[in-house]
Amino acid sequence: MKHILFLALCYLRFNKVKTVILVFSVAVVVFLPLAVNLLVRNYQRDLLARAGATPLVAGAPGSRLDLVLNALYFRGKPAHDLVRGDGDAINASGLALGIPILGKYTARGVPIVGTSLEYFGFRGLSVTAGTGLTRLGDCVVGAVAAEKLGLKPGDKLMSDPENVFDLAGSYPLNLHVKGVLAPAGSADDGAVFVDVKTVWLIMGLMHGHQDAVTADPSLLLERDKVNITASAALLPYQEVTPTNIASFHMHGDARTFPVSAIIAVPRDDKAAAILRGRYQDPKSAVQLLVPKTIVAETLDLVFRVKRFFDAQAVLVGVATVLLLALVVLLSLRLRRGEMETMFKIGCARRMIVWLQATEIMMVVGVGAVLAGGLSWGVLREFGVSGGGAGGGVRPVAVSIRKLVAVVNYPLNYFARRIAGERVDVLFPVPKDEDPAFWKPTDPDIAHLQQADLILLNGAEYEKWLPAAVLPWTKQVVTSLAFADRYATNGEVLTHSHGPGGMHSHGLIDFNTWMDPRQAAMQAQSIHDELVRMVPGMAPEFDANLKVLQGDLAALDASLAAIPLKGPLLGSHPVYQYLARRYGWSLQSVHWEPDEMPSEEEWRKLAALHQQHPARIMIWEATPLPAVAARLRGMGIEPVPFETCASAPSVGNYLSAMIANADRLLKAVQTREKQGGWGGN
Amino acid sequence: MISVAGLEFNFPHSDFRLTVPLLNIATGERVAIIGPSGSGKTTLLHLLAGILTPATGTIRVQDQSVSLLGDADRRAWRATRVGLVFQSFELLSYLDVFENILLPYRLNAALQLTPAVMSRVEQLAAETGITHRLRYFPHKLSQGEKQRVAICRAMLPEPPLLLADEPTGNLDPLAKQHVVDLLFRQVERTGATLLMVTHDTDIAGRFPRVIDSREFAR
Repeated sequence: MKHILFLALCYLRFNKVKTVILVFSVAVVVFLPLAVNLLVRNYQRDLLARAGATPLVAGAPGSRLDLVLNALYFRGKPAHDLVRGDGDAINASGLALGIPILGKYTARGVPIVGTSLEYFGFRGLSVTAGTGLTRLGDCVVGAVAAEKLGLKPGDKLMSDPENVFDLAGSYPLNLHVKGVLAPAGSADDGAVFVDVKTVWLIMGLMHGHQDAVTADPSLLLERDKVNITASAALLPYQEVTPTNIASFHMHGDARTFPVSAIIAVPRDDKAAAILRGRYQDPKSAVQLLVPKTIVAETLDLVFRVKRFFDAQAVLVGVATVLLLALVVLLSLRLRRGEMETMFKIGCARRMIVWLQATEIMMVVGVGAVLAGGLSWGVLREFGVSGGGAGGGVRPVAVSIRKLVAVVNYPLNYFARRIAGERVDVLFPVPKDEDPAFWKPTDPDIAHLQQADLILLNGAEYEKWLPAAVLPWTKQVVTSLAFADRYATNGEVLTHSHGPGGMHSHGLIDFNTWMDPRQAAMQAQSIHDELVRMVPGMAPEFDANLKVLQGDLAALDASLAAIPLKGPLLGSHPVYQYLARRYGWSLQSVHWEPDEMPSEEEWRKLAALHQQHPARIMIWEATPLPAVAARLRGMGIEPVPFETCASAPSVGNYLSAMIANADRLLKAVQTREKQGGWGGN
Repeated sequence: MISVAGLEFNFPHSDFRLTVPLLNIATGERVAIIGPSGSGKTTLLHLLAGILTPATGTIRVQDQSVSLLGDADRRAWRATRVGLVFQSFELLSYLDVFENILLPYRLNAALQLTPAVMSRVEQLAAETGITHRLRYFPHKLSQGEKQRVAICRAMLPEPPLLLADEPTGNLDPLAKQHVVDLLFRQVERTGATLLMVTHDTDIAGRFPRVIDSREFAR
């Protein structure tokens, strides 16, 4: 056999051109249908796998295919968007986990996908280099996109301008590459992921800009007691940096901000059926699709077309094989003399046939191997359809012990009162820091991301929140029940830029818990989320809440019983809710307890006092003795009234608030004895 | 050495008929077969080599009845006992000179390719003056060189019978003489019997015995 192989090889090697042509022809005949079939099969498998791993997709009514392509494969854009509120509704239903997808922009041609942290868990995506998202403007890059764009953690990536001629349109944003994802064999590999807020930032629905008051007076168009109007020349920042991150904010209610689609991961089959039933109405503003069905329908159409090409490939293949056979036969005829010689010098005719057959098999074999190699190369280059499953359904949590994160002391107090020792409560703000002005570090945010529940105060308390990336479904704004009754104070900045046009920044009093009835509502919200998180402990949580709400009701009664009839001064505008609740006539200045106010401030107080002759001034803490003495000289008694945003020096929220009430009551009673409220 | 008796052969669908009532050739004898085209010279060589099988009669070569051998045995016998040289050399274009000489060893299991055989190739090449051409392909050789390669191929198994079918037909007069010299030297060295078909009376004149094929053809 080795002699046959040797002689066949010698022949093929000697007739290089002929051999190469034959091998190439065989390779082409095998390669084309093979590669097409493998590619199509690969695409089919990947597309179906990804679709199968995505239980439901919600989107605005319109093209079902566009919606699925956008939500699963980040291709194209649906004609219409949903809003975040639609996703919140899915989450609030308790039937499914709603994960937003907002894909409108690209960065150097690669799709930017705005989503929430839940997406990474859902798809099983992990960071292989760097870290995950923590801040607005951060991005993590899919493995293929990172290779294609040459990106690594620490690099920057500018989003592509949507329309260079639209000066009022969205501005490109310089994204910070925080991490690179491990290859997933799916569309995720070719995308750049950001928090959905970062896409809103690119869209102009969020922004950060210069301080209109201090940056350039020429930018101010108008200013009165409550409003500042700035010109459109007040440019937004195009990159989120540590120095400007605090200036980023949203305009409007985030619940009305757009998302392209929402991936809904139902709790179970029953929940899926219920959820689908809810959106079956053709007039519904939301359509809920089963991606696998849509993809299967599309593939069915593709395969109908493919069958035609398959038949064509077979005919072309047969024709080519016949041509090759003719070439071989002609070649054999030309070599008849050679074969005769072989026979004459003692070679069996069977061996001669074997020799010829070996030559043909070698040509066909090499051609087939080449075709296989080419097909493999094509599959490797183009075979990643971007449709690989890339993870599956939501992993079941195995940890029994839950972690609840809170952002201020009252929430910490309420959560502990309700949950007892049943959950761990994380209050990451350092003791010596005012939580209202806390700026979490990246590790702080990463710590918060690990929590099962993140209790937020709302009312713009968390100034750091717009620029932080937290799981969508774990954030709970505890004051949402009375969000339409937030009290405002201070100046309002009105200015115009971006597609949103003219808009304003109001200053909201975020000390919502100062009103015990509001505090009770926040406690109720905390209770409801705890019950949702650990349903088995509902009876215990119910009982704890009842006791807490009783305490808060008693506190409310104590405060309401204070016979404060005249005007009242506040050292800081943090008592708006108390004043509103108890009908106090309150005017505030901006004084700090540990500072001596300037003479100008004293003059302003004197002027205010003329208009608002209060006999009591409540303070967040005991003021400096000199300040207290000078106030008393003006006939104003300073009374400490802690806000309890941080842990009180003695006791807890309830005892501190009761002490506040007691001090104020005593002061009022003293003033009553000294001659009532009229004048000095 | 060769003993042919009562041999008759005819090709199917042909009027040609070859009849050899009796032919004896001694071991080591050098015989030229002459005769006009179509008189059966090549056919006689092929019958002697076992390539063709007679209708009747016997062919004995070195006490081996060739006509009674089966196909496989006849091929093995031919590969080991008969050296064939052709007019048009019949070298394989895709093998170099060395491999062309070795070819019988690659085509028949009766011949074992050993290092000794390879040494003999070089020895034969030296004897025939083609050592410098061993790695050349046939299309690079002159006609005379090609025939020397063909003779080396035929002589490599050191057969006791060498059959040459007009080996000088495509050569110039000087080359013809060189080839005949070479054949004579080889059979002299090995003691082989040489039968050579030729049209050239000068060449035939150098052979001790000449047979006219017209004696056999009908």
